[in-house]
Amino acid sequence: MNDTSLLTVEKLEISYRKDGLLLPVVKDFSLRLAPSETYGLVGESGCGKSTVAYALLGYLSEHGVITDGSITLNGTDVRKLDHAGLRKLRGGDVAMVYQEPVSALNPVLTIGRQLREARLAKRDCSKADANDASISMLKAVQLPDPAAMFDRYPHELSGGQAQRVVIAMALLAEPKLLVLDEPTTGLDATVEAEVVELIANLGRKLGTAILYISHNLTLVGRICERVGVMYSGRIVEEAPTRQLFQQPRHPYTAGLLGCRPYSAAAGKNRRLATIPGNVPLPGQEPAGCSFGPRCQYFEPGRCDQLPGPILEAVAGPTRVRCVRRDEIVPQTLVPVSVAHRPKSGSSVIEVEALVKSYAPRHALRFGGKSPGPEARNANDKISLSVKGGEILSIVGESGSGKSTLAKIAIGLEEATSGRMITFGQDVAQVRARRRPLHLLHKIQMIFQNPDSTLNPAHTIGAIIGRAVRCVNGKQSAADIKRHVDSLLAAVALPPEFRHKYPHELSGGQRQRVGIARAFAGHPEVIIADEPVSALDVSIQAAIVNLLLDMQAHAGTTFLFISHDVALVRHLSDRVAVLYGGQLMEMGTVDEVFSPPFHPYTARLISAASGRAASGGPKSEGKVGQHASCRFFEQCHVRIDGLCDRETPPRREGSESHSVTCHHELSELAMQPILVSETM
Amino acid sequence: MSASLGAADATMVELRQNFFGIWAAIKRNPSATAGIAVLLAWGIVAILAPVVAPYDPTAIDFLAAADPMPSSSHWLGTDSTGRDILSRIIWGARTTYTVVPLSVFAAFIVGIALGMPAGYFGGWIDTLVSRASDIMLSFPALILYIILITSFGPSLCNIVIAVTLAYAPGVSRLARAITLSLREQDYVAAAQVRGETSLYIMAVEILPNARGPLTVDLCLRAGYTVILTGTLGFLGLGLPPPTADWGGMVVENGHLLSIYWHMTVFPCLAISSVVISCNLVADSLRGGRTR
Amino acid sequence: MVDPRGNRYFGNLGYSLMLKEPVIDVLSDRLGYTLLLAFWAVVFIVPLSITMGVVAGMNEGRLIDRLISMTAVVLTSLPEFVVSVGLLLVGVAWLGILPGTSPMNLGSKWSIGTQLFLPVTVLVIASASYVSRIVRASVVDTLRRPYVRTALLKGLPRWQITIHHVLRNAMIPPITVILLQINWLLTGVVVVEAIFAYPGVGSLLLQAGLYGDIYLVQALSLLALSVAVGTQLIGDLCYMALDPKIKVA
Ligand SMILES: Nc1ncnc2c1ncn2[C@@H]1O[C@H](COP(=O)(O)OP(=O)(O)OP(=O)(O)O)[C@@H](O)[C@H]1O
Ligand code: SF4
Ligand code: SF4
Ligand SMILES: [Mg+2]
Repeated sequence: MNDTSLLTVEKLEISYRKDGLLLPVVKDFSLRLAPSETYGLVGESGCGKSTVAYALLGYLSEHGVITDGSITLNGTDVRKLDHAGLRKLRGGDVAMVYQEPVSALNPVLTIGRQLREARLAKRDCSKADANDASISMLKAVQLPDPAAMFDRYPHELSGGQAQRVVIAMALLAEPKLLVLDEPTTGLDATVEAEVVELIANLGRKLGTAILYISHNLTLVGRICERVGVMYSGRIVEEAPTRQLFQQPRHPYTAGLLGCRPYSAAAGKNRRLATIPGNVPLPGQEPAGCSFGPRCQYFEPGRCDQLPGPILEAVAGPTRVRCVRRDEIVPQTLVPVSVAHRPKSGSSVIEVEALVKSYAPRHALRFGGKSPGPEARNANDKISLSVKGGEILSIVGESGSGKSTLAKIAIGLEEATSGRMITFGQDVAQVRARRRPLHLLHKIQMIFQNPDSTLNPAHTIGAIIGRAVRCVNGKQSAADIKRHVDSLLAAVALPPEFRHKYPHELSGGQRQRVGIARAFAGHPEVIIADEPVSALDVSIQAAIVNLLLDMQAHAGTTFLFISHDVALVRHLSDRVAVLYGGQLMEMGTVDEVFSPPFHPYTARLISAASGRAASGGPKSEGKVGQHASCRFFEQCHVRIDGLCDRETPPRREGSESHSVTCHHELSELAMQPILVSETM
Repeated sequence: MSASLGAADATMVELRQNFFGIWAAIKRNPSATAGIAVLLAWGIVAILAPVVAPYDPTAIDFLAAADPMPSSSHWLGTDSTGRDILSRIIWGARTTYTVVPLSVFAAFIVGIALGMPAGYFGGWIDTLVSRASDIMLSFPALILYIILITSFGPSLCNIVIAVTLAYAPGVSRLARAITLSLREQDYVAAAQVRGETSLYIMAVEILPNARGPLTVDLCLRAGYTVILTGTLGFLGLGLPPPTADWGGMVVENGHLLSIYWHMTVFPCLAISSVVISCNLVADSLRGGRTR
Repeated sequence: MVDPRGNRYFGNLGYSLMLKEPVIDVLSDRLGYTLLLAFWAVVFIVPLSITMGVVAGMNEGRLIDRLISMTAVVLTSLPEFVVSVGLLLVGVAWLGILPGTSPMNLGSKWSIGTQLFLPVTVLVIASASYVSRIVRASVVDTLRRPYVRTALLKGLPRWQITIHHVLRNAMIPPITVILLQINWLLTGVVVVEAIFAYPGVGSLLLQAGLYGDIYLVQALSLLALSVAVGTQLIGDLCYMALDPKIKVA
């Protein structure tokens, strides 16, 4: 076995130096990889995935130290290599693809120059040869017009294109092992699907071994033969992909699988399965099994004994780190209560032909006027209505205008034209500053980024207290305190949190405080802009449940903005699909997620189930600003000469369902669409 | 999901420590501790000047002037008119510790009052403030002083006004830049949508978070101001004689440098110690990084 | 063409009250000396500060960095007149190898070179220490960028990473600062010129200010503004050449 393995990692321990102490962040990490095997490493933020990845290339950031263990790659001990040896290793045996492709490329050098360097570092060849190799590699990663791409600069590329370039750069070294660290995080779902497919195909074709690192279990499952699940610095379960998905043996794996939206466990129940609690910080792990405090199978006296469980084989190739591995068959926590939800009422927000265009930004210019880029419409004649008490989701990719719509509704932006009638008043062009207070307090917002949603200078108590005072006017200090405590209790935070500062809270806890603040004045409408997308998978589910509970309890109308198709499908009553600022499809969940589909909806759904739309143009083509249908450039069923000339009609499938497309609904129903059963 | 392998995390941690414990950041850095100690020591000297100064700083003593070199009765010697150098340096600390804090605070108040609304509201306010400060900044500061002080005469008030005019544009530019980035924060949006006034948002939501960079800038500018007031004194544009003024002492006695070095060197050391201390403190607040 | 009351004609900067000469003549006289001083200062400031900054930045946290950084902090903190006093003490009072003033007289017993030495040194000390700190900060910042890591993990040789990936990017931000120094050297060297009795624009400004020579002050302010506009323009051109994100539209 040892002879045939390309990569052998034995009992690796990596620590970071902090305040003079060594904090281990990767512990007892062993891994064996055969040539051309694909292995997926999954875990939540901070569990040590990237640290492992970089260690394989002999690279640790300034405070990192390998404190124990060995890494053997292609017969050489990586820990013993000197500078020259490391250079040879990195240029040849192993190459890496990074999470943020645009910042991984040097902004002042052309793409071609950077690709050529990678080739020249690996082998002696002439510049011309290296150029040729680079161009053919650009072709291999399916970039349009490779020769032109060669002379471009990184800032001229989209995220997806940049990631293809980085992949090409890694492959130019002809590595035996390709390490990919979250290569698609931050890309749009449709682009992600295409990049993942590209990686899988190239890996197969070139016979390169792949170590694919991600926080997304489903994604890894699509590419990898084997999967290792990491928790708090250790692998807790390792198994062939199929086995892992069918019968997870570690309670954490089971929990992760269960809390995906719209999975079998959740069924039609709106609440999501959750894993309670938070990931322990390095240095604060409990004794024994570090998953202990969150585990439903925890057994005092066994699970909390030192030296903690070790990774041991159960059933064939599956290895599990759990003292009770032979006794339990972990199930996901099926959520207990089904949220009771009130019926939809009359419309509370009425949007009519709303347009928001942003003035273009100009580059540095000397004198004179030159024709700049045209104004961009972030919202282009959007019409929809939100009914009281419902959950309306707005789904679309980055740049589709979701957030712009929300900002106009809440008064952070003003529309260019059109009407937005909230509670009988047109607020399309009225900013929050000029809106009457009673109207402001009826609509509140929950923000996306847990790092910026709370003011770091104030305590939690002051933050929520201010919101309470603002809405309810004069109140005694004791009243406010009582109110704050009840809000904290509602979002399941202890009252002591009043005295904490935001930086002392985890991302999920901060998001809870943000929710408490939004509900402080009993608003009638809550707009949640990607409230969970910056959170870890196991935390996401708990926050979604909390939102659903609070919504159901208060009967609040909910405008839920998300790019996550599965989540939207899971929790919405109705769905609006946006693309390039235009409303593409609108209807109840069942109508939107079953044929006939709008072509863009079809692409979104297939991307969510992991398929890149076969045939048709790439998803990162530019949004057609001039074509009458914005989706024209990327549409796989477009009608040339019609779709780019005439505005597509709005076709009503039922009273609640509408699709904006030149094709008849009956034609759209026939579309070939790839939806796998897991979706 | 930090891509840069914790580097960003580490920066965040450092920033927070700066934010929540300026004191802690200083303590970790011995050179900053030394800087603070020096600044405090001069402050005490300035306050106690009448008590600790052995002589009247303006008392002319021709007997002593006959042998101005340092001696047991005049530890740092006297100047050419027999005034005790030590006493003049001690009273000079008082001058420095009056002029510098006054003018720096005035510059910060004006700068913040202009820069924050410019950054927060944008539009014509921003255009106006930014253009004005650009013009002021493109002008070498010293020309500004020379014009101002030569036209209005050297007095404490005019020096403070001059420093304010010269530094307020820089401060307002910084305040504007910080406000521009902070106003995009979600907590500011949250305050707007619950109907807070703009003044409240600037003062309570934004200003406390600008504290870190503003403090660093304050330390740096305090250092420059010491140099500047010294230089003004040196150019004969400082407080009118016979006020004890470090820069003035250098110029009064500069021509005797080759014989009576002590008359010039000691005030030079005094000025330098204050400026170096300010810079060390600023550097440590920045987390040891420049810029 | 000369109006003794100092009235301004079109294209004429007026008549200096202090020197009883047309402002334009006074200026052109002084500007030559200022350019000479600025030229020699820049010749030393730029290479010196870049070398120091890069060496310190590339060795962040090591002994050599701490030495350079500490020296730089101390030197930037010293007012120009303090540095001048120190150098005068050593070079003139103790060693006697340099002149105490630099009136740039050809007839003096000191050569032009020795007369230039002290003023240039003071300017270099004051400016290079500051610029080197900016360069260091920029290098340190660039070293933390993900694309430098990419270059390293591509297996490129060190020199290639340093030159093409680190320095190429790190040199962009200090340009502004270097140009501001040039700005200062051309119009703001008041203290050094006053101390060394150097016949440049800076000392002229001081005299004009003290005398209340409004036409001269006005002309010098105009000069300062045009220099500022000029360096700004050069800066824009440099950015355009170095940073592909900035293009002439
Ligand atoms: N340079 C560093 N100095 C100190 N601690 C670090 C450093 N880099 C990472 N860490 C810590 O080590 C742990 C593991 O970090 P790592 O980046 O490997 O996690 P990850 O699984 O890749 O997370 P993510 O999903 O966020 O990318 C985290 O707790 C992190 O805060
Ligand atoms: S060891 Fe105990 S606490 Fe840990 S996963 Fe197994 S059962 Fe749960
Ligand atoms: S209108 Fe045409 S381009 Fe637009 S989605 Fe329909 S078929 Fe595609
Ligand atoms: Mg990572």
